[in-house]
Amino acid sequence: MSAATDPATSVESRDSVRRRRAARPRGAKQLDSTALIYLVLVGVIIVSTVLTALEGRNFFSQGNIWAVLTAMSVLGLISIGQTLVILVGSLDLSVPYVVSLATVVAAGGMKGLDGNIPAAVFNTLAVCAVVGLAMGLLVSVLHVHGFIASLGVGLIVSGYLATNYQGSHGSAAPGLRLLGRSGIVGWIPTAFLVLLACAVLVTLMLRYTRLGHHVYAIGGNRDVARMSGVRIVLPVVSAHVLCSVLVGLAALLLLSRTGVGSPTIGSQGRYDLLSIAAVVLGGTLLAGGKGSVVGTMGGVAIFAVLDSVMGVMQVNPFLKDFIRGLVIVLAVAVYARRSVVRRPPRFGSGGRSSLPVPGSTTKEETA
Amino acid sequence: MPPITPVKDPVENALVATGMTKSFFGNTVLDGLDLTLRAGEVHGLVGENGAGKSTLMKMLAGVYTPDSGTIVVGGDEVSFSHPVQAQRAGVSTVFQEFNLLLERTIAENIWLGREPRRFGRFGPVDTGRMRRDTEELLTGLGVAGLKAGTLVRNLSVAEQQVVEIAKAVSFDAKVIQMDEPTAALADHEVELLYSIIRRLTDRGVAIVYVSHRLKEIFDLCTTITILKDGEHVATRPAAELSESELVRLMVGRPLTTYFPDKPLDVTVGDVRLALSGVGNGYVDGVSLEVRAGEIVGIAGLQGSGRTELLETVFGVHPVSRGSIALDGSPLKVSSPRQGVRARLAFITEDRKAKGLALNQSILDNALGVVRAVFPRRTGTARRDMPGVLSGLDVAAHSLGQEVQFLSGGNQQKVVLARWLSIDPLVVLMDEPTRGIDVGAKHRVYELMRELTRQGVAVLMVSSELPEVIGMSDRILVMRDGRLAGELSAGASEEAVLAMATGAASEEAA
Repeated sequence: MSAATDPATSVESRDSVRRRRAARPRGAKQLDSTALIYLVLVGVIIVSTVLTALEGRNFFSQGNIWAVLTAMSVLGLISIGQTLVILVGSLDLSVPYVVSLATVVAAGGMKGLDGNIPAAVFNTLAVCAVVGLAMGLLVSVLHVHGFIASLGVGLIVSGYLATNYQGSHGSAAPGLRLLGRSGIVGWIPTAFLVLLACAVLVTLMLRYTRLGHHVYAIGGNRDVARMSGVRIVLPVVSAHVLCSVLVGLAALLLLSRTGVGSPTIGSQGRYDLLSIAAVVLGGTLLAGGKGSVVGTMGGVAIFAVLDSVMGVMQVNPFLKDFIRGLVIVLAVAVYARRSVVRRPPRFGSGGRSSLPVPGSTTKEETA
Repeated sequence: MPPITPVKDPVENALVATGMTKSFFGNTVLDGLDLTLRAGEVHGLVGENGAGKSTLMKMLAGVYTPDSGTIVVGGDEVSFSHPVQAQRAGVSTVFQEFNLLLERTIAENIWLGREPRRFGRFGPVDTGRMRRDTEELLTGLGVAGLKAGTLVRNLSVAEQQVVEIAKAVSFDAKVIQMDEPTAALADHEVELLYSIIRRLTDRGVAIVYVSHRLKEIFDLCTTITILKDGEHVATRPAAELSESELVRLMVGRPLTTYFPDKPLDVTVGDVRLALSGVGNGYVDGVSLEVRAGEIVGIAGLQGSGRTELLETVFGVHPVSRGSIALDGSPLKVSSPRQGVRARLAFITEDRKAKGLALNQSILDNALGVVRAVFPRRTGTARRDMPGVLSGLDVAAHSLGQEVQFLSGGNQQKVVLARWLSIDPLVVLMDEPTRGIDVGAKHRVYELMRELTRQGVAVLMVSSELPEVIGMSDRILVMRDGRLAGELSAGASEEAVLAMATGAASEEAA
């Protein structure tokens, strides 16, 4: 041990820093998963452009871009909500039923009149918030796992819808429908701008508020969070409420295109599994604590581009699912390789032992 | 290196704890302990496993609430019911298991739960300040080249420890407790830790240093407190103690457990299990032999590679150097299943996590291994099992009872029964009597003797020195992943401890 110089002024030696760095886990400089997902997205776009061109059409035509961005917006909003819930260590399977509920409540409230829009929108989002609150409390206070809590609440909502509504219900106000068709410069639909705004807001929330930091902390390790004095209930409840409200917003966008409320539209869209798939595809850990909205947007975009090109090529629906499934499984298999090393090895794992003498001091790195 | 002499005169008391008492389920683990920490000193806390060091630390850290006793920090009496309260009062603790979020940055970990905000209560988190404050903290500790924005996952163990210490310092700690801080560090990393501790004591921080490694205790500590069986033995200035005296104070307890005598009719047979130069990421150059009918004990500190050695033999960790032989023929196991097929039994250290399916019945647990590996023998095993279990005096209502409702001793007997069902050639035992009552302990010891009578080779790891000494025919001592030496059956606890801590490494090796 070097105790020669005055300890208060001595800064760690270069040699020490170098050796300390050498002990860092391998693969620390791997491409991070957000970069990876956007690289995949670029690849998918290139392939899609070629395939679309082979069909004699242009992937980058105004109509196609509009269609892809529109397709992104509903699943995108839902997936942002799902990202929040998964980050905090929970899960939301009630998504499709809340979508249906929201379209019914909104369309029923508007009754085709512009004057009813503010009240109907407020009521819709409030109903969604209450559903989210219920799940959040179940998860955080009663310690029901998010999987079961949201499944149960989802089934309750689904039962309510099936008993009280047969077929379509109410109708969207003309103003809302107009919004559904509007956009800027003819390329970007308003719905996509709504998605973009929400993505930015939620990203800022996650990065620059205590709430956001604590969402990551709780999802990463609930015990560590608690030991650090983080309260568990507020972030979990907030994530669930925000998720359900975003789902309500997605339902309003959907309504702007369909025009009528439907008690089955959510389940037909399979938004529960698709949103979870988009989140995981975007590099968020299903166990929580790691991930980002930016990544999720990449995942949603990959799905939208795939759907677009498969639509152009008139791929049959079963093959579509097969390809979607393949993409998900491959992506997760790639992420799963980043496994956790719990007990760091003391010696090099291969090669020869350099110091066979028992009782000698620990040797330096081998291999 | 010479012992550290703090620049500041350590007169002021950073923390005074009096009459600290704690019991769990009527079992007193700490009895009326007093501890005074002076500002700027490194206070060593030593004692064998189970002496009460961790309990004391956890009470000062706010993890446990003491049954009685008072804590005074910087002149004010305090009581903690949560670790954060202790940290705010100026007592921070760096546990062996780090409390860090792997997927978050260094800065986010340090300021978790108290992130600085701009513009008051509802403002955004001030990430710039978080980064600057973090880098200031790290420079203050004399650590170079750590970025506040690096993910903790990408840090080495030593660096993660630095983050934990920086977090402790960020609370303006008057006292920092460190539990076995060098257990996971390589030699050259220990140097960095020493320099950080020196800086902290210069600032007047009192360090509680818990370690089994006597060399470190003497390198660092100004004062040493020795605990034994939950009681205070002595507090002395380090300069007045010698290593041998310290070891003597740590041991020397009355023998409370009774070990069955070595039976006369056991003849030690041929070599059953032989390791030659076995090494992988966890152990290195281990050569040993266990003969049929022999009990070989492995002693060593926690983290010395004892468990990993047993796991390597059983096939949990692959062997990358050297070879293992069973009854003279080479044994190659690359999974526990192959280990079982070779008729090795492994009684794991943590029976709740790795030994038993807690919410399944006694019978299902006892038949677990046979069913999985030798399905054709399940019928026979099922027929014999009630006899085996009652032979082990398992106290239960029925074989259908869930094992989670059994006492620790009975749970352990179920584990033993499950391994007896494969007629093992070698039994690997890791802490076979941890957390079980005296009666069950005695039954386990008797069983070990019975096994030797049948010609089984037993390799036992234990932290309880009397157990190792009382049961083993030979004692192997491990240190830092290697065998430090061998002692014969009648060795003294002092000799074992000295070899395990490296106090007498020259003579031993």
